[in-house]
Parts: sequence; structure tokens; C-alpha cells
Amino acid sequence: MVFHHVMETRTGHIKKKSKIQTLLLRLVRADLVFWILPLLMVVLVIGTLAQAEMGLFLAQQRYFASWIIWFGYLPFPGGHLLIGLFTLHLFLKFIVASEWRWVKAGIILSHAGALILLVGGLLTALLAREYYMVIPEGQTSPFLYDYHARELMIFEDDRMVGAIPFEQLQIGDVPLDKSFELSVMQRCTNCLIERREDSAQDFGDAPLHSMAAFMALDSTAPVREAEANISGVTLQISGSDTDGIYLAFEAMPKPVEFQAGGQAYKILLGKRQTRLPFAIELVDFKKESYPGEVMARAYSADVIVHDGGLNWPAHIAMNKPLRYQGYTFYQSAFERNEQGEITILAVVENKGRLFPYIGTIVITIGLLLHLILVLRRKEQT
Amino acid sequence: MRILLLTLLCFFACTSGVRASSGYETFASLPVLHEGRLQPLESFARAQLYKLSSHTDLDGQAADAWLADVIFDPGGAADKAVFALDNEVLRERLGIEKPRGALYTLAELEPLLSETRSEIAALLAAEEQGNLSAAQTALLALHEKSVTYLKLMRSLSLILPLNVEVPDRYGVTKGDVTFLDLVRQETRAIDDLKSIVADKGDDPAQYSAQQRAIAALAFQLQQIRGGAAGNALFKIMPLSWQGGQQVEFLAPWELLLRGQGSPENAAYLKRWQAMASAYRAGDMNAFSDASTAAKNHVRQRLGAAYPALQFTLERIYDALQPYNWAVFLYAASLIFAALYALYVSNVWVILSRAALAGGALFHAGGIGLRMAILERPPVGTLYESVLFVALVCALIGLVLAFKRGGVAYNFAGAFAALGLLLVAPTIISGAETLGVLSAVLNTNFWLGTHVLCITIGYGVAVMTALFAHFALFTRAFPKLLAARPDFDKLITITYRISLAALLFTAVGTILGGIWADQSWGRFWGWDPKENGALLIVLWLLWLQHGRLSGHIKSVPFAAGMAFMNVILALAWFGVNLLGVGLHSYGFTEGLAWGLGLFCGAQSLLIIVLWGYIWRRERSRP
Repeated sequence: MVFHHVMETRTGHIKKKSKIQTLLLRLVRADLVFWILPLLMVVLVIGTLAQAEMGLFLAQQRYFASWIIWFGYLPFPGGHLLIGLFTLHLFLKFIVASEWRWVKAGIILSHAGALILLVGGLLTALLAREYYMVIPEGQTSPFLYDYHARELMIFEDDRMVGAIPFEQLQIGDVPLDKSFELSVMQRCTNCLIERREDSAQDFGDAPLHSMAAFMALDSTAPVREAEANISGVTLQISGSDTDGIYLAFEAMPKPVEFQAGGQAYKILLGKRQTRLPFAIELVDFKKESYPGEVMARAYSADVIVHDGGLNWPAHIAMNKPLRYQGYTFYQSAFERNEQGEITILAVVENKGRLFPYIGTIVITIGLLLHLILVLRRKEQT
Repeated sequence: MRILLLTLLCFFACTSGVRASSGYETFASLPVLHEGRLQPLESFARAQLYKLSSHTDLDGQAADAWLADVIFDPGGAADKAVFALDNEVLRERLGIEKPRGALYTLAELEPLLSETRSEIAALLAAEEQGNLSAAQTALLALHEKSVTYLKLMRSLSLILPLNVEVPDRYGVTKGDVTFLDLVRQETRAIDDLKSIVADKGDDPAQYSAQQRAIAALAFQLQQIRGGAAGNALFKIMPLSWQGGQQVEFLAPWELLLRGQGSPENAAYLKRWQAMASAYRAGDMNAFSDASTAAKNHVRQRLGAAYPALQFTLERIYDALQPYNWAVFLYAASLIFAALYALYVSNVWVILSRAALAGGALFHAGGIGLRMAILERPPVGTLYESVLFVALVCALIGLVLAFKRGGVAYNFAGAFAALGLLLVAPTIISGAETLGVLSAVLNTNFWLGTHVLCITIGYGVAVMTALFAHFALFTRAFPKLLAARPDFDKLITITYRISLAALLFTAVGTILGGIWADQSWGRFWGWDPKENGALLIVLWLLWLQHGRLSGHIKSVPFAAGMAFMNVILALAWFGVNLLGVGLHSYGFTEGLAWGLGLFCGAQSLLIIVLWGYIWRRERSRP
């Protein structure tokens, strides 16, 4: 059944509206913003306050990057839903209800700028990927690491043959098409590493290998910043030359190593890896301090980009990233060990990165124009 | 830039001749490297004295004279009252009857410090967990202050005369012998002591007179060296005398212990020794001459690396205390404006406007001097943002007052600027310093665009909220003031200023996003500071759209815009309390209470006014 509403057109004709038209007209009405904005502000405040408790990443996922937020059984519109509605409203209003007059030029431009920003935000939310790279001085790396996603990587004769996302690693057998079998005995999102003799875990007669012989993993509460958790699993391997219990956790200095069916296997748990279509070599990392102080004045990295047969030098500094092939490399952090300095670069792949720049210019011009027009109109009256 | 500096110099020339005859003039301008920046000794002294005593002078003794006492005459320093101790629990534990606010000497504190020294490690561990009581926090601070004071007392101990008898065998014949004179004999004296102990044991009663003298000398030299370990506070010695843009400075002991002495350093240290001798002899003329010689020495040798102009400006800045003048003049402007509201007369308008203009001139002069000294845009820290926003408010008030007439703009500008300038010192924990910035903030381009834009936006938003308050007051008490301001006019003004606030905060927020894109790789990260800025923008948008669409009537609009102050305070300062995200920086507990109180009081005021208006107008026929 289709509902029709009666409306009078400008010419005085009586016209019936379809349900879709009614919905469209509802979306265009100015009061929608009046209702969306307070809800968005509530989400913004709650999501910000929640960061103190659950950290930036989790709060962002729960409040801002969600459609519905559940407070127990009570649903509340999430950031995506509200911003999506707002964008839709702005778009429809811009198309259908803009008053194309000179006095409204400032407002129209500001709305167009806001739309560009929001579309850019949508593209970024959908397409942008954030990673980091770790390169010691003098070494070259093509690998990008995810900040949050972890996986269990299996290497056969040093070639990666499988990667299982950490979330899929549940207690029990792991489906694998290999000459050995793998079972997860225990898993922890944030592991506490303790001495084997202090652990109450009992794996029966199964022999303890490698690190499992003197270490055990115990689950502890995840920390506020999710990327700082140390995830890990206790594995049982059977069908290999050295069956038994093994440990795999992040930051483990050595992978799990064993032989099965005449092949050498390695198992590693870590942040999800992606390979760049090129590689970056760190020539020199520099930390420049204020005189007499530990506080840094500037950080920078001299690198060489290796792409096929081509190599060229580049310089990455604070506020001066390197951009190449859609990837942008930012100086993010550094570490020092006995071997030397290690740079940590934040890497972003974002197709929508130009939108904020265009949006800003348009909004600025729009708001300025509006202000000028309002002042001029005031003077005229 | 030079012209600006010269103008500022001329403007403040009348106030710069401070303490011309005191004998410390040149001493106060000697270079010290502190907190990453070369600064005149006076600034260093002021910061240290404030850290210890919460004062910038001691009973009329200026900070530089106090520092001279401490470094040149450390023997007397232990009995000089310099430590502030406000915690009642600690004062009771110390058991010395003194009125609240009185200062304590190191000698008076020593029993408490010795008794609690063993608790320090546990307290530091508890501090990391955030589990310290107020008394424990005060105790840790007291220990830290005592270490700082000891470092200052010992900073020149290698060139001050020792009260020790030097046996003839070491070939040092001069009268006032110093550690530096004996440094070559130190190893020999210790070896001699070892052989004496091996021969006669460790009971000095068994030693001959000469052996006792050797033992005393070796012991004292070891004590002085031990006390000097890690003493890098008083960095007065240039490491290199080649000039250049950046010169590393070391403390005298640091230089000696790192083995980086040079003939140039030795010559400069001799100048300091001459100052010490003159000071200890009480000959202030000789002290002044020795200070001048030291200054000329370092200035000539360092050449371009010696920031002479910045030093002059910094000394003017320190002496002038421009914000105190601004506070005084803003308060005067406020009083004159209030008098106008009660007794309408143009005299009050002129006086109020003149005082506001004078205050803004001192205020802008202070910020201009900071910019010239630090060679960067005016806002890089939370403290500087408060100073700058206060100036923006004063300038908006002034411009509108001259353009539109009336006294309301004066009042608003002076009120906001005064309030913010009074809040500013509570943002920083120590004396006002001219600090350097962390690496990500060390970019003049973004400090000059995003930060300026957003802080101007904050200033305009404060003025919006103030006019909204006026509007509410006017509606609630229409006959209270003789000036009889018009509610509708005030609402229109509030709306127009809010448009400017939206322009600056929106553009500033987006520029911040672009900076974030440039330095962290993402335009928007839902970081608390970003969310705070967005909240301001959304709040303004909501009220403006609500007013345009007719959903928000004039009184709720005024109440909402008045509430802007709370939103602003939370976005500006409150988000730092969360301690998360890339923008979080230091925040004191006391300030958190202050912020809570402000937000509570503001909300209550708005609710009461709004409620009062609603009741009054409902009962009206």
C-alpha cells in the first residue's frame, strides 16, 4: 500500500506526494540539523570522555565509527549514522533548497565546503589505511605493519604460506591444510609473561618446547591504548618432528621453529604485515635537541627510496612527510639500541586527502563572504 | 622586525632603568643556558627563586642579588630563609612555629629531610601510580627543592676559597686556595691518604700533624667532588668559543668532570672567580667591574651567537612586568565602565576607553616582547594561549567601542581580558618562563596559522558569551542600570560576534586538521582536543541555525551563547585532564578544581537568570 499526502503546489494545484517525496522533503527541512547536532554533540562528549577509560582507538570504534551505540539495551545513534544523515541533509538541501541569490552566496559556499569536507571524511573512513614501518639505520624494509590487527603467520621454508587473524584464533583446532596440526590451548589479547614454574597451567604429558619450557602466558586486562597490548597464544603442535607445546606472542625475539614432513616451518605472531610496492632504506636518523636539554627540537630521517632499479634520496622530518605512490611517510617515533638508531614511520594511504584542503578553502571563502554580506546589509539598513 | 623591536624598546625605555646603581646590573645580564634557551642570569635567578619560595624577590632583595649570595657565599645560604612550605601536615611534623606563608631555611628543614630521605624511592614509585596524598606530594617537592638549592650552593664550589690547610709537599703556596688550584694534586693526596691508612689504620689520632692535614685535604676534596656529581644546573660556560648559531653551555663542574676544559674556559672562569672574590669582600664596585669584564669577555668571544638584543628585551620584559600593568589598567577600565552604567556620563566612557587602550598596549607590548625573545609566533603553550586570547578580547572590545560607541564593548573587553590575565598565572606551575617547544610544535608556519586562528576564535567566542550574559542580565533586570541597554540589540550583537567566532573556530579547527595531516598523517583522529574544537563549532552552528529556523527564541539563544563559556573552558583546558591523545600536556590538580568550579558557577548563573526571566515573563499578563 502506498501512502499519498496532499500538498498544494505554488501554482495552486493540488498534488499528491509519494512516500519517497515525503521522506526527501523531511530530509531537506532545516529543523533536521536542529535535532541532529545536539545528538552529535552528545556522542562527541561521551566518546571523548570514554577515551580516558578505554583509549582512543576503542572509543573511536564504539562511538564515532559506529551506526548504533548500545548503552545496555538502549540504542543511541552512532557517529556514522548522525554524520551520514547530516551529510545527506546537507547534500539534498544544497541541491533542492539552496536559495541561489547573491545575498546567500556565503552560506551556499560554506555548505558546499562542508559537503566537500564530509565527502572527504567519508572517503577517508572507507579507503584510508594507516600503518607503521620500523627501519633500523642502514637497513631496507618494504614492510608495513598494522597498528591494531594481529595475525599468526606461518612460514614454510621462509616463505609465508598462511596468516590467521588473531580474532579467529579461538581455543581448539586451527583448520590448516598442512602436514602438521595446530591447536590453540590458550589465548590472551594482552598477555602477562610469567615464569613457567609460577604458572598453574597444565598440559599433561605434552612436552614444552622453546620458550614454553621456561615461560607461560597469562591473560591480563587490556591496556587503554589497544596497540600497546601484547597478544599471544599457547599452541600445541602435533604431526611434526618435535610435537608439544609452544608459545607465540608479540615482541617474541625468536619465532616458533619446527620440522614437519621434511619442511622447515616457522610460526610468528605479530602485527599484520603488508608489503609496499617499493622499499625504504634508512641512511641516518637524527634527533636534534635543545642545547643542554634532553627535549628534542627536531627529528628527521634521511632515507633512500628503492623502486625497481631506481633509487633516490629523500628527507623525512617533523611536519615534512615523504609522499610517493599514494603513500605518505611521517616521522613518528624512534628507538635506540646497541646496534644504533631505529626510525618508526607512520604510513598513510589516503585517497581522500585533498578534500580537506579544498573544503577548507571553500568554507573560509564562504564564511568570510557571509560575514561581509551580513555587515554590508546591516549598513544598508 | 627590527623596527618593531626598536619601537618596543623606545616605548619601554622609560621603565628599563631598573636598579642602575645596585651593582648587579651587569651580573644580571650574564648568559645562562636554562631549559634549552640562552637567557640572562636574572631570568634564571627569578625562575629558581620562584621554584623554591613562590616569590620572585625576597624581602626587597631581587632574585639576581639572592642568587649571587647563594653561589658566591654558600656558607651563609643554609641559614637564609627561602623555602616555602604550605602543607600543614609537614609544618606540624617539622615542629617549628612560624606563621603561614613564612619561609624556612635549609638548616631548619634538614632534620625533616634527613628523617624522610629513606621514603623517597617509595614516594616516587607511588607518584607514578598517581597515589600520593597532598602531604606526600609536598614532601617530594620539598626534597626536590632542597636538591636544587644544594646544586645552586655548590655550582661554583670549584672556584671558591677552601677552608683547608694544604701541606707544603703539594707545592700550592697561594693564600685562598680553591678546588681548581688543587685539582692536579687531588689524586696524589688520595694516594697519600691510602698509604697513611695502610700504614697507621683509619684512626686520625694515630696520625702526625702533617698526616692529619693530608687526610683532611683528601677527605674535603673527595667531599667536594662527590657533591658536584650531576650538578649541571648553572650552565654558564660556553663549550665552544667559535660562535655560530647554537652554542652549547655547560655548568662549571660539568665541564671539569667531562674533561672539556680549555684555555678559553679557564680565562672565563677566572672572571667569575674575580666576581666571587669581590662579592665575598663586599666590594660592590669591584664586583660590578668584574661582572662587566666577564660580560665583555663572553660577548666578544661568542660574537653572533651572543643574543644581545634578545637579552636586552628579556631584561625589559622581566623588569616591566607588562601583564601587571595590563591587569591594573583593565581593572580601572572596568570600574569606569561600571560607574558609567550607574551614573551616565561621557567622562566615564572616555576614562574607561583610555584605560582599556593603555592596558591593551602594555598587554600587546608584553606579547610582542615574548615573540621577539623567542623568535616565534605568540602562542605555543597553554599559558601563552590564555595571554593571547585575553589580548584578542581586549582588542575586540576596544575596536567595537571606538566603532560603535557606548560602554558595553569596553566593559566586555576589559572584563574578559582581566579575567583571563588573572587566570593565566595559575596555568603554569613555576614563575613565568619563556619556554622552548617540543619538536612537533616547533613550526612557525602552523603556530602562525592554525594556532592563531583557533585562539582568535576562542577570544571571539569569549566575547560572544559575554554579550550573551549582558543580554540575559538586561532581560532579567531591565531597570537595574541607568544606561538601560536594549535586549534585542544585544542579541543582534551576540549573533554577529558569534558569526565571527564560527569563522575563526571553524577555519582554525580545519587548519588544525591540515596540520595533523601534515605531521601525523590523518586529518581527523577524534583526539580530545580536536573533539573539543569541533564541539565549539557544532554548538555555535546549532544555536545559529536554531535561531534562523525559529526553533531557538531570543532568551534560550542568549542562554546557549552564554553557556559557550563552559563549552570553551572544557574544550580549551578540560580535554587536557583526560590525559589521552596527541594534544595532552601538563595540567595541575588545582586547576582541575578551578575549572570545575567555573563551569558549575557559570551553569548555575545561566540557569538562575533564565529561570528568573521565564518566571517573570510567564506571570506577566
